[in-house]
Amino acid sequence: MLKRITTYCLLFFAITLCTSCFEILEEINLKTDGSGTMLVTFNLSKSKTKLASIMLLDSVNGHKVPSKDDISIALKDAEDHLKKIPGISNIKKTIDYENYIFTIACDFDKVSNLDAVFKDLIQRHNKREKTNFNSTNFSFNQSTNTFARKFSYDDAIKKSFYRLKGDDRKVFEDASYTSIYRFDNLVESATNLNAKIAPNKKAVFLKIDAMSLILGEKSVANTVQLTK
Amino acid sequence: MKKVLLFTTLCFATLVVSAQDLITKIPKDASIVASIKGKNITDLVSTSEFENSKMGKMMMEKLSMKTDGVVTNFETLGINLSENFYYFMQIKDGVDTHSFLIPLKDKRGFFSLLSESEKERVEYEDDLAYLVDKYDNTITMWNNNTMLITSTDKEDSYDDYYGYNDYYDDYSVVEDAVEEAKTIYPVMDFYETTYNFGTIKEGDIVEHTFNFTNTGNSPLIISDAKASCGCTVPSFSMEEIASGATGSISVKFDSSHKSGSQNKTVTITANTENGVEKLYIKGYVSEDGIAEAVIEDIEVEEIEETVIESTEYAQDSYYNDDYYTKREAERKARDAKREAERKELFVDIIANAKTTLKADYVNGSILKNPSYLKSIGSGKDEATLWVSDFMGIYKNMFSSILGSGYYGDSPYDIFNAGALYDGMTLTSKLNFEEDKASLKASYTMNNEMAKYNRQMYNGKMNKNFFKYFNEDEIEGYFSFNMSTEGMLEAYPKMVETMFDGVEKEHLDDLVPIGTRLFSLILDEEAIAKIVRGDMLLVMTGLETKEVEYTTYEYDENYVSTEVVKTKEETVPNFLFMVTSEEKEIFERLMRIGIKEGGVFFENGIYNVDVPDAPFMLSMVFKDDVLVIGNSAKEIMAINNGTIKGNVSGKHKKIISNNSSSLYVNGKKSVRDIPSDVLPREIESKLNYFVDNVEDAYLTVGKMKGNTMEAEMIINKPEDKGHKNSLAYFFNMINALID
Repeated sequence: MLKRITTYCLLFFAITLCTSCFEILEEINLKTDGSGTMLVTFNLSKSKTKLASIMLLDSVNGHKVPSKDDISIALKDAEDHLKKIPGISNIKKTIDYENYIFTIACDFDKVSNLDAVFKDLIQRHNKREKTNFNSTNFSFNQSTNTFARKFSYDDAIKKSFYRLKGDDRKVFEDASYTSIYRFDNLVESATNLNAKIAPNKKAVFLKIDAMSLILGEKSVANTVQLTK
Repeated sequence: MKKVLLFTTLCFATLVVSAQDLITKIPKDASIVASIKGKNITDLVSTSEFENSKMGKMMMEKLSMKTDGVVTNFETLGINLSENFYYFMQIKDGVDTHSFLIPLKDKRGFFSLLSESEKERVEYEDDLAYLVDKYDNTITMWNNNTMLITSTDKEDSYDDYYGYNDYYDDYSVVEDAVEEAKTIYPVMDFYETTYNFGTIKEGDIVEHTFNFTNTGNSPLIISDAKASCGCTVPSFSMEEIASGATGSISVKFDSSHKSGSQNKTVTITANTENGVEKLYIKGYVSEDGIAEAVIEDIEVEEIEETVIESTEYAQDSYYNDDYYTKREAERKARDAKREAERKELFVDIIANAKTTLKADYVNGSILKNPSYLKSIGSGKDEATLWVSDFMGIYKNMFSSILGSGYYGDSPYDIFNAGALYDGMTLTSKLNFEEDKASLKASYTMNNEMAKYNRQMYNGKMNKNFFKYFNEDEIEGYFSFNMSTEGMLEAYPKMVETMFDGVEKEHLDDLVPIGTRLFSLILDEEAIAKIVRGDMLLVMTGLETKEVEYTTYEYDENYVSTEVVKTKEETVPNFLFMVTSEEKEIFERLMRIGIKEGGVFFENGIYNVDVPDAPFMLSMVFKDDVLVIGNSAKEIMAINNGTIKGNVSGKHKKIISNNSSSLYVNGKKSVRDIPSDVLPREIESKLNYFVDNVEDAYLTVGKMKGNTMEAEMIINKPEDKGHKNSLAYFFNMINALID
């Protein structure tokens, strides 16, 4: 009985609270020799009250709510996966359930090492779902000094988004994706029109709201030309 | 299934007990009966009003498109919306049959909904027409004024074995079944049709019994038997003789005033193919009883034996060592068997549909079922639902889901559930009144179950609860009124009853030992002092609080720094009240909490930091009530006595007189919920909803006799131009579609 009452309370909480919003931050610091560091941050802090309520429930809107253990295991899996990739070292992760911020960071020898992280996963996904995502995400051409973030939009994203119920879609309305690439060399140009180049010419900043990304209106693809 | 959907859609728009109400077509033994009263509904919202509503227009557009413009309004659908619609479920030999009865005005309307290929498959017989859908074991049968859709939940191995494609669009099974169904009659197979009594003396009375077996494929009903002479008296039973069962007809012959050769005929009227069957008795009556003539040979009727080809070994003659040949033969045999089973099923489906449509029931219709009549009566409800014999339905459900379990065939082998659940019926009535819509459900249980329920739900509601909240400000409440003491006493007894007489694993001996130990160890009264069993949860309103969150700021060179910002969040407040006489235990627990950390005593109230919860809990023990809430402000006000309770008699009654209630102050909560959290589709219509939502409540009453009643009421707002509660629903839906 008490459990049911708590469930009602929490559900009411979850409904009345503001829409959940989250940020994803992708930061890469690239050195002249092609090595560097990468930091990926999932920040759900803005919706922490809602998340804390949801986390106490078993399921919301028919979706199972992951437990803290589930999240920790998923992050651990990601960490283990990274450890297996040659050229990736110094893997660090942080888990903060107080503010709901999760990060994972690593050093890489070559930009192509980063690709290896997702290559397997993307190729498998393409085969299974007949999608056409590029399996190389990052590249760095040392001879021309160009750094590229690749991304090919696939209609599958839109389709799976529209398959979600209205309430579930709202999750993405206030979400954003930010990438910051920092370089030792100076930036000459960046191809993505939404990208901003820092006044010191050493960083490229790109912030896109999740909806534009999902609907294919904007892309994270960017080619940055560095001085030689 | 498509048709079932169509039916449901139509019901929406629909529907007077008239001379030929379809209810007579529902058998007396139906387990579930649901009805929708066409006229009651069309009186509230007329067909044309519905057709002109947005929902009606949308529906008509779809129907029109589907039928290439044949159906443009309800009139052309051919459905008689002023008659009653029914659904019923029957369970026979573990198979559920679901039937829908739809009154027709003009069968052509419905016919036009069929596709060309479906039209070709329609079978005609006398004034009946029907269509069998083999994929979902559904038959649609109609005559001039009624349409029947029956669907059987027969599980078969058809789909999960071998190729579905082999049979795709092959309706030969159905066609065969249709042919066979036309020949579906009971057959009176007599051991002899003629009895020769030899030579008797005038005045003797001879009696003979003719035995027979019903070798046909449907139940036999004898309606009459007459003899060619008053001297011969046949006697028979009117009871139904099942297919395969035996019966008898005895014939008494009085030879008074008779002499010489006698030939008497007995004519039986029954539901066999010919409708009449004949029996003969003959013999010789002499003054002295001595035979004068040689009696004719007894007629021997030869029965032609049907040779059934054994499909199982049909391929044996071709058998060779080739493994595949053998497998192929096995597969064919299985297919043939499956085919035969399916044919049998369709024959049954067609025969049952005919029985229903003709209302050809030996035991009469549901109107002869006292339980149904008592529960449903002739109320003016727009829709009713009656479920009888829960046990039967449960049992059937369990055996089909679980199959044979560890303990045997079904859980009912280990539980004596019947002691508690036998004789349980559910009645539900939907009413659209002028100012409110109500849905009532009442459970009637057997004496045993009622006894325990009375014990559990005889709790009292604490009047002090009403001091701590203001009715006008709340979003809603949930009350629960149980007797902890009664429950702790009744529960072990219920378990004992469940296992009473269950010999398996000596459960009937072991269980009582366990339950008595339970009762011995627990001091029901003492526990009831801690938690009496009455509780009330009130959503007291929304409060805006400032909440911190982390985000990032970037300098001009895009170096990020973590910053903490604040935002406003609307948090719903709640109060949870429980009656308890053990203030001491509570305070002791709190003192431990303070020592251990996590509990803070401040201004006379206890604040508890609940791990993982998005809020802090505040508590206070006031009089005999433990009040818990998430707003320290409210709890403090309760403690200081500065809160002004304001609860009307209406709500006091709802909370106190029911074992459970749920109230939603729709008016207030629609206004309070921040608009950005609502689904986008509703956001723009918020004003309409704020203006047009009243309130709703759900109550579960206390036990009255053996009945427990639950009721849901949705109130219609005043002065908003809604004609009645049904029109109100339609208007709300219209607003949503817009």
